[in-house]
Amino acid sequence: MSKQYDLLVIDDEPVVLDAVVRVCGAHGVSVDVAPDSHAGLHRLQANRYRLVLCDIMMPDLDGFQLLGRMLTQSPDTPVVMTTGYSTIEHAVRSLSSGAIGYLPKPFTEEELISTVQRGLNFSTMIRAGNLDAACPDHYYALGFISWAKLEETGAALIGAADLFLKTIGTVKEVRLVSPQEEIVQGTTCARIASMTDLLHDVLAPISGKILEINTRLKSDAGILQRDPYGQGWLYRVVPEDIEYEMKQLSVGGLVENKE
Amino acid sequence: MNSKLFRKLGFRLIVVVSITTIVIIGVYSYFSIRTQRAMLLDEVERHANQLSETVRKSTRYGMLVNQREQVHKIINDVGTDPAIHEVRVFNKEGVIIYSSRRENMGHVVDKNAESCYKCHAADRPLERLPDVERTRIFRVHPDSSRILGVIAPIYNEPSCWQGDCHAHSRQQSVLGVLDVTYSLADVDHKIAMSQVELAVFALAAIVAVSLIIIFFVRRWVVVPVDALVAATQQVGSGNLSYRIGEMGDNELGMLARSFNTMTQKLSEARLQLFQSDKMASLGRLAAGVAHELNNPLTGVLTYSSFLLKRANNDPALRSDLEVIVRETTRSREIVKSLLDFARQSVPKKSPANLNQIAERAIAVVEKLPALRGIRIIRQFDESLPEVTVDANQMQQVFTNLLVNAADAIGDKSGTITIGTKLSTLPPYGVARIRKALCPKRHDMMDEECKIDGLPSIRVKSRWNGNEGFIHLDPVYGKRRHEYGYPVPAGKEVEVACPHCGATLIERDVKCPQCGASSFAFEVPPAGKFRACARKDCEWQRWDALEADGKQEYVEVTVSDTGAGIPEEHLGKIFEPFFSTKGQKGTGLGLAVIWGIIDNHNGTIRVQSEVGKGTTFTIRLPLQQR
Repeated sequence: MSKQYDLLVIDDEPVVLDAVVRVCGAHGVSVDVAPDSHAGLHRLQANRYRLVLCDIMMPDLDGFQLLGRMLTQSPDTPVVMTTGYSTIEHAVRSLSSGAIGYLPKPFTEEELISTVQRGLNFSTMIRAGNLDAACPDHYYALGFISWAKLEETGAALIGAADLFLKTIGTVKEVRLVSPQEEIVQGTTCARIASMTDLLHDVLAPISGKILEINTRLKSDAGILQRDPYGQGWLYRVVPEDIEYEMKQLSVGGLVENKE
Repeated sequence: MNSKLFRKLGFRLIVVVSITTIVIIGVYSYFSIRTQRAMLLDEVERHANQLSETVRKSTRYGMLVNQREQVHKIINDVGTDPAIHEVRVFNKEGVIIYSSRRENMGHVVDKNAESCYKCHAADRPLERLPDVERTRIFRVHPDSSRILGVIAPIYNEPSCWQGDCHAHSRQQSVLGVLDVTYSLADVDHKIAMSQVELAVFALAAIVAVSLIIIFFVRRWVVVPVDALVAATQQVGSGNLSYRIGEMGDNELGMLARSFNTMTQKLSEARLQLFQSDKMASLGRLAAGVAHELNNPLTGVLTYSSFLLKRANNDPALRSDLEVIVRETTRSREIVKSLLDFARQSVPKKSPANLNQIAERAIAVVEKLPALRGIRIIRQFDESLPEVTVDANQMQQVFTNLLVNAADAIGDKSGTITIGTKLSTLPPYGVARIRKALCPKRHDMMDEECKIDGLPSIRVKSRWNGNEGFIHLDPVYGKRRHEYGYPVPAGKEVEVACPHCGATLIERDVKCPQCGASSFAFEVPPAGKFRACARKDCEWQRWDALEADGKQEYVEVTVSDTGAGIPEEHLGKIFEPFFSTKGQKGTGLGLAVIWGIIDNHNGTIRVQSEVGKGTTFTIRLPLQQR
């Protein structure tokens, strides 16, 4: 008998499963759990889920292999990857392999809820059929999260992806880093607060030194959603290792499943 | 024990050479004694023959005229010579007619007696006796001395049978025999003496030769071989820093040097292996810890932050929960930094003023209790231009060097001087080759063999039929090359790529200093590097660099008046996990510094004198090449 849940959590650590069930349950999200990859795949086949939260490091199957299988098995169910061994490589690989989000452990209640909320919104959009993942030509995207565009001067613009912004809801505020800081691919480069006071992390598509910050976002955060690929850019940076990092990105919004 | 002694190479050599000496000297002595004996006897024989002839001739007249007294007188007189045993004459019947020993006169000599035997052995007596057969050697008693006898047959002559006395008839051919016997006691004594002398000489020679051989075999073979054996045992038991002392220029000396080079390479390789192994296990450990720790932390963090949100109306509980959330978040950062440490970060460079960075490092260090009583002197060049560096990494470098300096000073008072300046240096003696390509584009850099801490350039080389590798000094103009096989000074060698064997020699470009051939390789992106192929010729040329003129460097020096670094540690201080601080340090500090400076294309040098202090000099190129 097929059941319907909002969220499937696949993790070999019972305390993580308990914590997610407890926190999400309190927010009215129905949660099903699977203690290992095979149970997860089995459940995903048997029941209907709107979102999957999946651990990368599990004893029986590598998280990325599992991600690939899940995406083939039920392409309409978005997946968020999580791991205790949180590295840049894991973050970038998760997103470039088709996950819609990456949540490093340990996470706070807010971080979990904002990610789950965004995932559920994503799922709703898929089901409604109004998912337009494509970003314009010559834009390089890190999954569904962010984009980078090379300029003729050698600098690059960084921004948040349209789909990412749409899943947040209405943007209330954009928190950018200070201009002295460096941006590193796969790490948080900006936080976007929604009207529901949830903070969503934008993971940088490329690494580089900040040249310029889009100050217009301070006064007019709405521009981010109105023109995400134009006026709504976040930073202008000097790319650091563009050749290598480009390999992790998809061109023109086409998300290639690397697995 | 004996078999163990005999298994020793030195002992065997000594035994074999000694036996050879004994055999040679023994054979020589044997033949020498034989010859000497024969010569002495010959001499005596000749003498005896002469005497016999003289006696025969001087008694001839007396016998002819039958003046017996006169013959007696002569024979007696001759017989008084102590060397003469007896002079006698016996007639055909064997009756002794005359004798220097009067008591023997009238006796009959047996035909089988030794003096008659020569003629009477055959049934019919010989009538003529050849000269050589006239002598004989015999002993009267077995224990008496030897005697040489000469018989001279007295032949019948016309005057004997024509005389009035008619004592002898014409038919007789031999009338009697003159027998002179000569004592060989003296000669035998001489022979015995010379035998003893020779034996003594031979013995002395054998002993002397053996001693000389023992001495040199010990010196040239046993001692060096023992040292080599001891060294291999040391290395075998894991002591790779063991070095054999200088052994001279012979084959064993070369073996010792190759052995030293080999163990050095081995220890470097082992260190690198050890280092990467350590880093790898550290990475695995960090990953394991992070993973294992982050899962329980997830439980704590989600539950506590969840509770915090629901404790709005209980301020006391709320502040307690805030502590839990804050501290768990801090734990999260600690685990994250552990993970960051496991992965070495890439420098994030931007133009920065090193004076400011140094100032920040001093500000951090000054608060440390270790710097109480230590004065920090700043010698900053205020007009120092900006350099492109990773400011955080540079601050880490300065902080580490300052803390090291403070540690070197210890509890005493002292000063640390930190200075910056702009220095201009010609590329010669400073610029470093980071990449070397053969004509077929093979990279010839050798990360494993370092010269003064920098990866060297490995080339294949040939000289006089011998082949080996040369590790070239990567610093332009320094020429601290390491020859992997013996090449005498001033010889021109073949130079080729170690991967494909393509020659690097440029026949058409001669060394302007000595006229020998030159070799060249590509140093991307800075053109060709040329050098003379003759060992010890100092000509090198890097045209692209010389064209650029002098290079500008920002130089930072950190000097202390501390304990100094002993000579034997100087070469190792930049190696990972080398530490003299025991439990206090990880041994990573200077290795990390070296890595950072190297990533900035810079160099770091250390000069130190025990008891006086240490100076670290960092040079960073102003223009990035």
